[in-house]
Amino acid sequence: MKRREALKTSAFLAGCGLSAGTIAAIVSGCQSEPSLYPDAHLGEDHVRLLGEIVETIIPTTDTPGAKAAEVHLFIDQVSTQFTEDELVAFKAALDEIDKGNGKKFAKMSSEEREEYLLSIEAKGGDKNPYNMLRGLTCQGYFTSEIGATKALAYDPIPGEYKPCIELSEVGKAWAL
Amino acid sequence: MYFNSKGKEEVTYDAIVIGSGISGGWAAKELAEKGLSVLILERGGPVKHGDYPTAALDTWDVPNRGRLTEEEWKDYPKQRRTGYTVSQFTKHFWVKDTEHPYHETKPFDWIRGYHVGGRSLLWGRQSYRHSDIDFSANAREGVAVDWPIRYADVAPWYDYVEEYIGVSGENVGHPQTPDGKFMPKMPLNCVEDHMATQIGKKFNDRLMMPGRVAHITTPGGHNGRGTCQYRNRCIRGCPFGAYFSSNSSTIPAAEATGNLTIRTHSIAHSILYNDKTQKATGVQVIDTETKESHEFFSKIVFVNASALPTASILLNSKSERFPNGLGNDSGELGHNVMDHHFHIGARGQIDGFEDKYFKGRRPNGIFIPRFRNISKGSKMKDFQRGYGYQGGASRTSWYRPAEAKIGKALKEELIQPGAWGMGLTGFGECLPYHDNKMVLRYDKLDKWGLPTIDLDVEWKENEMNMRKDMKSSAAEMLEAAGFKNINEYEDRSNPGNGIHEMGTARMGKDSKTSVLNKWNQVHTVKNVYVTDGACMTSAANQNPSLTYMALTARAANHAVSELKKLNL
Repeated sequence: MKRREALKTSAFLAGCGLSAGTIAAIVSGCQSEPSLYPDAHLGEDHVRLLGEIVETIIPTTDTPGAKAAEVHLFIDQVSTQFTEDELVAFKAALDEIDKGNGKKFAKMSSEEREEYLLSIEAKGGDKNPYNMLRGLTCQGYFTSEIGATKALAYDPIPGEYKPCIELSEVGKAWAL
Repeated sequence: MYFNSKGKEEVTYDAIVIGSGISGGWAAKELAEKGLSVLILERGGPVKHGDYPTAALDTWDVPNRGRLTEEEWKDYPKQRRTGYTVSQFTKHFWVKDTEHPYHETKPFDWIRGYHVGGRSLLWGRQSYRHSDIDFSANAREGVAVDWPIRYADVAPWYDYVEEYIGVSGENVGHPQTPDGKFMPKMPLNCVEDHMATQIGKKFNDRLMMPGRVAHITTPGGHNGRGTCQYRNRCIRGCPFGAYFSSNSSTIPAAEATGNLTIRTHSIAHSILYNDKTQKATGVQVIDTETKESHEFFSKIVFVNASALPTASILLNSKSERFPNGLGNDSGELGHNVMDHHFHIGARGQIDGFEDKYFKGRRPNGIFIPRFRNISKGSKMKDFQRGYGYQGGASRTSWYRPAEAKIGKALKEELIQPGAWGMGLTGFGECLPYHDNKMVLRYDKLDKWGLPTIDLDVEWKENEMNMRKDMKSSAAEMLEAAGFKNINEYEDRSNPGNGIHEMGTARMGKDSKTSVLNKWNQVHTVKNVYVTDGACMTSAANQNPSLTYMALTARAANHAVSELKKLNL
């Protein structure tokens, strides 16, 4: 089966409101956790920017956000699986975000960042860069240790099956 | 080239079992417990029960959050086709296609693992009996050949196997899916329970029950195996031994007798045959590591290599008497390849259960037994046989489309479970067709010099017509039960993708039209038994492993009794 066909049938990536086109553009990847941005596949500047983007998408609240979960590094590792064309397009999209709307992204307040990213989303399109970033951020966050064990309800060995309980007994979605 | 450094006595056993998967493990256990010395030949490496390195790992503990990289996928282009089997958690249990090639005259997904335990470590664990509606189907409809057995022949062996392996389930009195000896069922969740009630009310020909699944649900017994912990990580191997596998159950039992020897890294090249005695004398083996040939000798041989390799070994066992393969007077060896067709059904969402949830990841779902062509009233015009549904209800998770688009609102929304949805997937019977076949390619040898398998199998009109009904009936039931946003779906379903390949050495009454007799003996070589999926005369629509196990235990009992009578 071709890679794209496999992705279409995989529920794993079909998340966060991704369009089929966006799903097809994503392939995940992260062989090892690089400890330094200079080793980043996307380059240090892009990864630093990604850290701010993912934290805007899933911020720290009463639980840690996407930056603490190193979702920017996850996305960097995913990018090692991009085709050459996908990589060029992805970097260009990041550069565009970096430039901002007269005010550089790095200089914006968190409210301004949200507003700005939503303005990109509003442009629509099958390969909308914001939708792709949001999909990768959700995937990276909720499959991370922080996302799964702190944000969601984590129970690696339930030991029993209760078929029908009140949601309030758990309070949030199971991680696994 | 064919030598054994040891004396012949040291390489002689009462029985040789080729393969250690779900049926081979049973053959070894039964024969060893009855006092025979048994040699298992396993082409892969060892897996001791408990040797499941990824069983406790989470997504963040493994590379790539569990997915393979494109570079890694290059070894698994065909194993990849299921979409769910190969991951960082399981890749050590699946063959690399690059090392174990096969050919596809027509698309065929041959999904397998080579190691002690075989696919018994990796199976779906759904366990249903076949009924007389299934065993008499070919005769009733004039399709292929008649099964030489009926339900009454197998029923006590189903009892025996179910009690030994531990099957959780519910007795419902369905005529095509006979009741059995079950441990407590894994209950339906709130939405499934609603669906079951609605189906019962609105369709007097249908019912829905919890899947019957080979998991232990109450402690005690089963040789110390533990109860299901509801982790749903079965495919990585269960450290609790809660689901049945050769590794957790039959092989330790066979080992406990002191009568079992397992030789790993040993591919069965062919079965040795003596023209004078008209019996098999043993098995020629290729050591995968040294590439040397060895011969092992025995009074009886059980072939349990799984349907395609079993036929391959028999086809490659040529002698003056059997120039076209051992026991192949009929020319049916390698033909009548069957699987189940699926990847079709419907999904829907339902309101009204927003405050309900569940605890535990039940490694099981629902089962709707066949309701087509099981009585005069359920006769279908444009297809024979039928299908069952498997599936289940659950709540969507963070991967769903969210209403909030960014920030705290997005996070808070996705931390909550989403809508309840239910999916029904049909699993349909495939008829046995002579021209759905495998052949051996002697022009394309593998790295051990063995011929490779070429598959020429397709769904035909009966299957395609059935699929239309599988799709629309699923949607019909969801609609009747009050689901909304109902989505009929159909994905590619190549033969083989059901991982239920079978039929390549079918049982029958006559050596001119079948390979095996009613005891799973090769008609013309009575000390060779075939009790894996190769033996199946028709596929039925149920998951087949329970039937393989029951037929194996029955055949082993027969073999020992025949040995005692000096008939073999």
